[in-house]
Amino acid sequence: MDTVSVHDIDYGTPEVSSTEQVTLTIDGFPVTVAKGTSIMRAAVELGTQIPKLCATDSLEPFGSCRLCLVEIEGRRGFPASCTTPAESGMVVRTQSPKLADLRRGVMELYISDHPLDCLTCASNGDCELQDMSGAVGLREVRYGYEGKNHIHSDKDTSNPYFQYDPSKCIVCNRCVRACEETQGTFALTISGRGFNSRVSPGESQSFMDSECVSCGACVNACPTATLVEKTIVEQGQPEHSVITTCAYCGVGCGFKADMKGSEVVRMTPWKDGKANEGHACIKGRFAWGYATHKDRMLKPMVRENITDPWQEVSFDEAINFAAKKLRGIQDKYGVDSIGGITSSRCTNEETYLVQKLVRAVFHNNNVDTCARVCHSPTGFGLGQTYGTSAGTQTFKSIEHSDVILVMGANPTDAHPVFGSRMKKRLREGAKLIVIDPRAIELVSTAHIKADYHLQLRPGTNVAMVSAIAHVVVTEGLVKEEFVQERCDMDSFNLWRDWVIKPENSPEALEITTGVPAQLVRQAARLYATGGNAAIYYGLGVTEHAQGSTAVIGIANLAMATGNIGREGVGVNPLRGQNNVQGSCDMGSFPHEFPGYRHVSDSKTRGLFEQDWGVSLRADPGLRIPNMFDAALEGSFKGLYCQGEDIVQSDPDTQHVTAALEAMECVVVQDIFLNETAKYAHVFLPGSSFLEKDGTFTNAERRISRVRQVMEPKAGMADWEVTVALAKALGYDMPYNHPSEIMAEIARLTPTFAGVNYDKLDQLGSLQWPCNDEHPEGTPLMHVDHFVRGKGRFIISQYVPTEERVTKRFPLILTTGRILSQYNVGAQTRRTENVHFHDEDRLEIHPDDAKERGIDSGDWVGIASRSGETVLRALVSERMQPGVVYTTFHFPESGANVITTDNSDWATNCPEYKVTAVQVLKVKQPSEWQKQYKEFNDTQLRLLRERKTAENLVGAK
Amino acid sequence: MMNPQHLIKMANAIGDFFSAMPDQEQAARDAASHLKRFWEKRMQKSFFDYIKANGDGELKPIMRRALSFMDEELGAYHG
Repeated sequence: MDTVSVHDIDYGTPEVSSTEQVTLTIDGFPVTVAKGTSIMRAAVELGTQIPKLCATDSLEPFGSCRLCLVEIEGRRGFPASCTTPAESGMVVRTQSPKLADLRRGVMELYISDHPLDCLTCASNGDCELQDMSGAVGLREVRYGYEGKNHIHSDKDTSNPYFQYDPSKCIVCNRCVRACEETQGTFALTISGRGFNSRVSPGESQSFMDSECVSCGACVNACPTATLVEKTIVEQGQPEHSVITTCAYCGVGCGFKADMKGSEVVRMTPWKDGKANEGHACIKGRFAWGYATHKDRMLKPMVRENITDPWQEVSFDEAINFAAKKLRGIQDKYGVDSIGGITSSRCTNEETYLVQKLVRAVFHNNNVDTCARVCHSPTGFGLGQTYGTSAGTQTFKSIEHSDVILVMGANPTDAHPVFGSRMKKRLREGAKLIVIDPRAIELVSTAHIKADYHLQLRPGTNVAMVSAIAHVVVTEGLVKEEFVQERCDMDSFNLWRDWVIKPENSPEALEITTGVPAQLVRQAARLYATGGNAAIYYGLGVTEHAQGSTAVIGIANLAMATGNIGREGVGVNPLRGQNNVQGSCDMGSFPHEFPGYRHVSDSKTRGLFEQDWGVSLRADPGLRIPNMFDAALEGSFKGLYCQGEDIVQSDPDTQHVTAALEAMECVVVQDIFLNETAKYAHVFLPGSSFLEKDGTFTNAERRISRVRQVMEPKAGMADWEVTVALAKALGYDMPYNHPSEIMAEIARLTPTFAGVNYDKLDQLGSLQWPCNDEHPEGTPLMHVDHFVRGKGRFIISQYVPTEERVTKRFPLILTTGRILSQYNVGAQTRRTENVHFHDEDRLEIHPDDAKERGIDSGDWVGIASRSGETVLRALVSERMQPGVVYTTFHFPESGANVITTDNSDWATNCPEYKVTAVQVLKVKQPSEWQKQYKEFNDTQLRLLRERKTAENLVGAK
Repeated sequence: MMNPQHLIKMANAIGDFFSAMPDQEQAARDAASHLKRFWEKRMQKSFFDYIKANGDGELKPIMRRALSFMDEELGAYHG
């Protein structure tokens, strides 16, 4: 097992990047550090420790605790080493009798107002106050405890994940500063003055009632037991840690799984994780309890019909049952009658194996992944314009951005750790343009106000991008030199001639987008001339009938303004799920082998055929929506679905369930009996990210290790199950470990050629392309030339969606996410996160609500041409009139009962973001909800009544 | 047969994208190529079967032009 120490070195102050070095002497030893480094950090780099309490290396120095005082030759007094930069020739003493006296005096005061319950304290063994008492040699406290103190202050246990015990607070401000500097929420403050000073969430509120977003940064920063995880209070300190990668969003944060034996007691953001640099959000930091939730399915099950009770069987029996069914279907209906869906929540290795199973063993290309319903337009659009299907930057690149354009993304909710990075840069002065139908948090939040919020109508992204591009070209803001040197000029000239047409002007498109032309012009000028400009976009761009066109338009814009190929710029898709990038890289699409090579490319196909020892198909397979259509037509009868819940996540639920009901064998591999599994004939228990080895690839193309911290609860890791299914179908996949699967990926995929587990262990993570040319990976793409050679401009004509408001459906519904819940909620709903969001609500503008007599909390029916559901209303100024919004985290909400079968022209990515609806006050659930309840109750009964080995024996 | 109305709608949406290209001959060819590279063969077959039986009146002009290139490229599926 790859264990590491629970405790990291704390350098006291942040690393400074400077090319200039200074050499000083500390306690008689020379040390050379970057100019601007604090004496405190220089001392740690030398190998010594200066006592400290208010300093920690994730925060700027504060200089309040007076413990890190040092002596500097030629200087009077005792400067604080955290706030004093090292200088050349400086001679520093960290220890002297006088310093010892001063420090003991300071410690004595701290301890005089601190409970002496070390032996029973949750932080015993992980308390800096305790450590410092030892370090300074405190032996007595002369002041007694009879005087005024805080020892009997009440604990705040309102937050489900951590507690606040004011009696242990030393008012070091670390939590307050973490909330500000690291997270950017500004929920904490120090209330009171002098002796009465105490940390306070909001205005003396409880943590739960305050603006706290439970990111855990304050808990991480706290040097005492003032803020401590409840799991630590209940279970004690961990004894070893394993570095792994979060299984939630596409930020892909590095975490230390802090362990007691095989039990996780805490997830701590990994300081050296390059995606998150020691920060986390409520999901990754705290919402991991689902892994051991009682709903975990640990036994394989089979049934002939979905109306039958389940029967628990062994893995062998279940896999043989599935193999026999799938082969039988192919014999009866043809080789193309089955397929598979890979998961963006599974590892690269697992995903690779599922597509290999489909291509090599099913003998077709009917494999797809949930990226189909989120970022497939990114793959298409960036592939066409730049030559590769991925974001261009590292997350850290934003530190060099002068202008940040956020379009159709809500980073503070959906990608919170990156959202915090973004907020930090914005607080430093970067300009912000938000293009979104909703007033997302970034539009106006603590110390941040968007310079421009282009609050467009849903479905008009392409018109907006065209209008911005029109301004760039017609006002002479094109970076001609960049375009001439780096781009295909024929394509540019065609694009320019098109974009300057009057119909693409902001004035002409104002009626379409609903955004005043002058505002668009100003924002366009800022993007083109404001320095390094970076575009960050999300599913609000891709999940449209013109999703691919919008991505192409964005790519054009970045090229025209020269915002590609260096730090601080670029085109950055914010990927939804943890391994969306990886699942796409691994050949999950029906038309592509791993590494984005079309199946018709005979050279690539030959490579795989030789390695896999089978002949492979040159024609593209079915995409997920096509699978459903083919199932309803009767030609698609069997599906192997790993780690996806298509019934809840895909649009037009009733269409999806009808398709599944039309199939003869649905195999679901998952950790829970999800909504799709209720339509399954075979259930294969999956393993959580804590139970397996592998890799995830995040939105910045960063490949990071997922490390097993506990045995697979059901007995097999997911990759082993796919291998077993392949074997039962007559094909050997003789791997002993996921590292061998990665070796095969590297052997067959040029962009992964240099990736291996040893290198990942050594470097922590790697950004592809990683090959002989870039052995340690490629942080920035398209630096000297585009992957395709010259960047290609493509005309991106706005075409209105067919989904239009009518008298019958006068409002537009758009969907999204919320911070505390993740995707279909299968994981987060099984954690304490339900305390933050326990139902999906319909957000509606006050005008629309008033017109319909709707108040917050009322039940409202939302009807579209696809279906109807009922939710409670939330009247909100965040919406614009005419637009309503909901999330899809709870199955009974039926958000996707309403969404339609409209999809992106190029990729079939569903148009989740635009559905014409009517909203009316109602008193009872919708017909669909009643049917759902009945079906769900039946399926749960069939699960409860499942035949187990025990009751079968009993029956005999 | 896969839902022909859905396929026609999808084909026309492809046509909408390529309609804006100045070289309409090339655009029609690109539209045909897109369909070939991304549509599974039963979708292509259903599409063609429907057009053969019902004519191309529901297709947008560019997709009607694209049909000739599809004929050329997809002949194997609908002969």
